[in-house]
Amino acid sequence: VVQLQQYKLELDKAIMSVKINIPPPEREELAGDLAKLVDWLQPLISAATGDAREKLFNQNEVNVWREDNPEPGDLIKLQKTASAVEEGLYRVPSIIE
Amino acid sequence: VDLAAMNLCQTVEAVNKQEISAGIVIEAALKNCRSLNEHLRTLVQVGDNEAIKAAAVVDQKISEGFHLPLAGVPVVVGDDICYQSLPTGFGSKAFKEFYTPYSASAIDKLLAAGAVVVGKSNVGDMGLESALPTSAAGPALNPWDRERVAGSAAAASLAARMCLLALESDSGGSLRQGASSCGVMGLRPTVGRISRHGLHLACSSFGTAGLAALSADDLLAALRVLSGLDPADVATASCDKHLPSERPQFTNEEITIGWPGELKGALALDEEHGIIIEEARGKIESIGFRCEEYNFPLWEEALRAYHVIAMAETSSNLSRFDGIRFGESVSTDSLEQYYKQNRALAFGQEARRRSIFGSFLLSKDNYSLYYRQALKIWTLLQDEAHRAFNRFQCLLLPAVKALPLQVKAEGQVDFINRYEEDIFTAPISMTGFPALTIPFGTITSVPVGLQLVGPPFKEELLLHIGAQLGEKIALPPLNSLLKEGL
Repeated sequence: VVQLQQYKLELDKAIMSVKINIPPPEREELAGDLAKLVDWLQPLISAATGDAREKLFNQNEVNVWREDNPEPGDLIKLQKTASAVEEGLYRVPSIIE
Repeated sequence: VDLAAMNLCQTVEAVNKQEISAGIVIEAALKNCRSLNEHLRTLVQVGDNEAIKAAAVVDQKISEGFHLPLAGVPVVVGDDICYQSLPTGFGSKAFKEFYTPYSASAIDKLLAAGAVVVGKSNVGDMGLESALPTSAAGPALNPWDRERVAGSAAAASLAARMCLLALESDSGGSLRQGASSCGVMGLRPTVGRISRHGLHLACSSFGTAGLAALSADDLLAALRVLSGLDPADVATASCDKHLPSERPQFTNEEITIGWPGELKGALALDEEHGIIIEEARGKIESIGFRCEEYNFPLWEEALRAYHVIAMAETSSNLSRFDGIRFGESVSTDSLEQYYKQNRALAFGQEARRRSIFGSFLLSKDNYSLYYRQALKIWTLLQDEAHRAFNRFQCLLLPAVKALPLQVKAEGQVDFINRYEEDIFTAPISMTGFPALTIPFGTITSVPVGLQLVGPPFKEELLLHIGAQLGEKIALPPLNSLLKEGL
């Protein structure tokens, strides 16, 4: 019971960080799922990894290096692909005051 | 035109020679889409006038003397891939009529080569999960057994001949598992082979565009069109010249295939799938390939590492869905509530779970324990894969550990069990190496495939082996099953 309470606290922190509304019954269910996940991950944290480096990118292993040739983007061309145009104006996402 | 009697290469040849028009092929595909989709739910959008107009353009170009490498090929693309002409839904109820302002580079290449998009396939909630129990449109059904899920709606659409080529993302193995369960070939190319620009990938490190088709030659024809540098995706490799224009010939006797030894037993492969993989060895050796056992350490830990990294990246990537820029939104009094309510609207159960758990795994107290450890396992796994390819030209693995989920069991299967379904595919995704699933048999009339894994940018070798093994396997014709079942 104490452990489940701990998971509920951890879960509340994570939900706050994600910024999403989760109703209380779903929170209960997710706390149980989190306990299962932590249990399932035990073999991972006990694996002997020694001083292995932490991998950050897949691409470095398999890709071919090439010159980077940046080009300016064509905003007008991109705007012409907008899904709606009214009186010559492109529909863009609303902005929150 | 009967699409059940054609494949991609035959269609391209016939359309280019003007023996058949692209319009007729596309009409036939659209007819299959409309008549079968209500039974299978594999498509969330069916192209109509747009597809017919595109086919007319292809016919016009052919009549002007152009030769198009994918002329008249009907294609289904995943609904997590941006396509300007049809709504893109990401498997979420918040994106019912959402048009992206551009198409994915991979789709642009397909269209320029003469292919025509006939539909968008059902994907899981925010593009997550392979078994599709979480899609807002409901699970796509397997055409071989409609009591079971498809695994990949794009592969199921291909099996039901709604198309002759499918383009779908593959992160943990959705495309490969679905191809296995639907009796078609599924290719996850080397990461960097196909541009990922315009793909919605919840997991950036492991996701890539995959292909499903009916034969190795079909896959090679499509891969030839899709591979190569894309200025819109800095992670694409400039490797198009490495892909041969024809399927190269290899000497079977010079190819040693790594065969899973301890790996197979440790992963609780169900008995019938175990028998299939044993049979595979005999067939592989009968066509001249050598088989040697190998053991892959840290395999099960790699599955867990995959899910830790995938959840962490999902949590970060899905944060952009805040109701401001994309999809439907509801108005609220405060900005904080705006985020909260709109994320709750956009995310289904699995997207919520992964976002929240990803945030948990990345938190200060857990970051080193889980995430950094997962990154170390990733390094060790890839080192091991490189070592394996010093001994073998190719590795062989099962594609799935059991038959696809039964639809009625949906919601009763624990999420951990669903994650474990990725045991044979997710660790391969972590290597970034190419993998091909090929049909190899059936269990209670549902197809079962094998997975071949090759070194980076050696897709042609996989297709060579896959083509020969494919010739040894004869699945019952699905078109008759469909006619009986529907």
